[in-house]
Amino acid sequence: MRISKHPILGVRPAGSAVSITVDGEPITAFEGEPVAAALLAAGLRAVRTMPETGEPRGVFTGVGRSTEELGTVDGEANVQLMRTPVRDGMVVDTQQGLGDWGESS
Amino acid sequence: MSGTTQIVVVGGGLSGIMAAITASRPGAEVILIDEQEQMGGWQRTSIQKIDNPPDVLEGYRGYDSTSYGRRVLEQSSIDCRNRSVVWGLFEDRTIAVHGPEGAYQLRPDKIILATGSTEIVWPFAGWTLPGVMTARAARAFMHLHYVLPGRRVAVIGRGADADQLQADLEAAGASVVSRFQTPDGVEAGGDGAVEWISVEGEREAVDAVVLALGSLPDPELARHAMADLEYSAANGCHVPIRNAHMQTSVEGVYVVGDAGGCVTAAEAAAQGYVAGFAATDSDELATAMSALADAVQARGPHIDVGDAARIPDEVQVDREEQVIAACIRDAIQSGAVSVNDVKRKTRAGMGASQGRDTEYVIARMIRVQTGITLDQLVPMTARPPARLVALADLAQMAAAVD
Repeated sequence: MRISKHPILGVRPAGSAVSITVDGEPITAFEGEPVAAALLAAGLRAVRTMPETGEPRGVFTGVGRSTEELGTVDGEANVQLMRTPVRDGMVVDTQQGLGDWGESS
Repeated sequence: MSGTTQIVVVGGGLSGIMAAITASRPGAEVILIDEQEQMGGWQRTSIQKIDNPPDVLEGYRGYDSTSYGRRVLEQSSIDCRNRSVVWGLFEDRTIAVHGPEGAYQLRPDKIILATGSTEIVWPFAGWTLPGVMTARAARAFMHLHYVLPGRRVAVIGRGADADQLQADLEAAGASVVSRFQTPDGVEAGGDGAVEWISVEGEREAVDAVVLALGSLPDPELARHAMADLEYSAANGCHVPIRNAHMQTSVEGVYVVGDAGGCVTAAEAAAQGYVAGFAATDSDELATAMSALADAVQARGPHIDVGDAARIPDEVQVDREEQVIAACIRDAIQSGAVSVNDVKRKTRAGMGASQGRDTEYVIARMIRVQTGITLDQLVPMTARPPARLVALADLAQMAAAVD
């Protein structure tokens, strides 16, 4: 959910709305915001699953250090979602475990 | 002294900015390195008036103060490098950096570490569910990106910082529906993401849980450099031993700000001044030291955020390596007497966050089971990389060195 107007910070600085694809579904995002922020704004809290247990994980510390905040962006696995800015047409996938490294492709 | 003194400041929060600006004098070449896209540290995400600010920041809110700091940096000759991580500090003050320009090494004359703090976290049932996050994550979403962590939120934590977090959430438009002083006995659950939280009974529907459990000094790079440590009762952990110039036991390596033990904004800034002048052998050092003496505020002892005996057996203590409490208890039962021992036996602390989160919890689990007090516990060994680095980047750096 977006904060439309913050009592101290005011409204979000203008940004261009773009469309990205998350697990095959289009969502609207702002160009340049971290992918993780776009996902949360769209109500998507899980960004990956863990390698052995398969349990879902989302952003926890939010500083871009942990392996819990990794996702698959434009086919590349293990991308830091708090550190990666949104670009128009980006394709984001919930990363399954260690992700697909594409060896067999 | 002849020639130019090269000084690298690691960390662009308040104390790092102050150290860099102070050190930036004729004869000194200063590089300021920070991992985020903008300088400012955690104050960047704070909308609160700075508590106990240095005079120059009187009346500023956190995020305002960092805009001010960035303007001062822009007018200086300091070489500011953002989106750059220092992942190792090796012999002879060799620093390994990875930034937009790739991987490289620096070997400055002086290093000032202003690496700040990390957040204390504490395991409870359901804490790995998506939607559970720390206060800094919540503030980054709200105050940098205008995104709410959730509509119905539970806050866990005591003290002024947790109260402020609750106020921040409410100001942004969230409802704080539950507030717990500690994670002891808390249980969260949900299918795929957090949906409810409870303590012994009644479930409250929530879509986010935020932990506001306080901060721990993060002197990891000083530990890479093998700086001597001492136990700090005020911080509940070990911190680097420093002299009055903020220099560690390693010649030419200084630590300022929260990295050396959590301090007020005024004291962090004053430490930056002292180290900046000390690193450049300035005549003004004595003045800075007396300003620091004035800024020092005594702190009471650290209060543990949770009771290690009450962590449920099946709960993961290390979220990344997915090591449950029972497994750590078994390791301690079978003779582990340090965090390093537990790490070797269980892998707890081997994830990408390098045990920064888990060390605090495991130290207390060892104390509960063995009676070894925290000051007697051998601190965990810190090893590179301090941040995630791709092997390809290491290979690139190795090629450059050859």
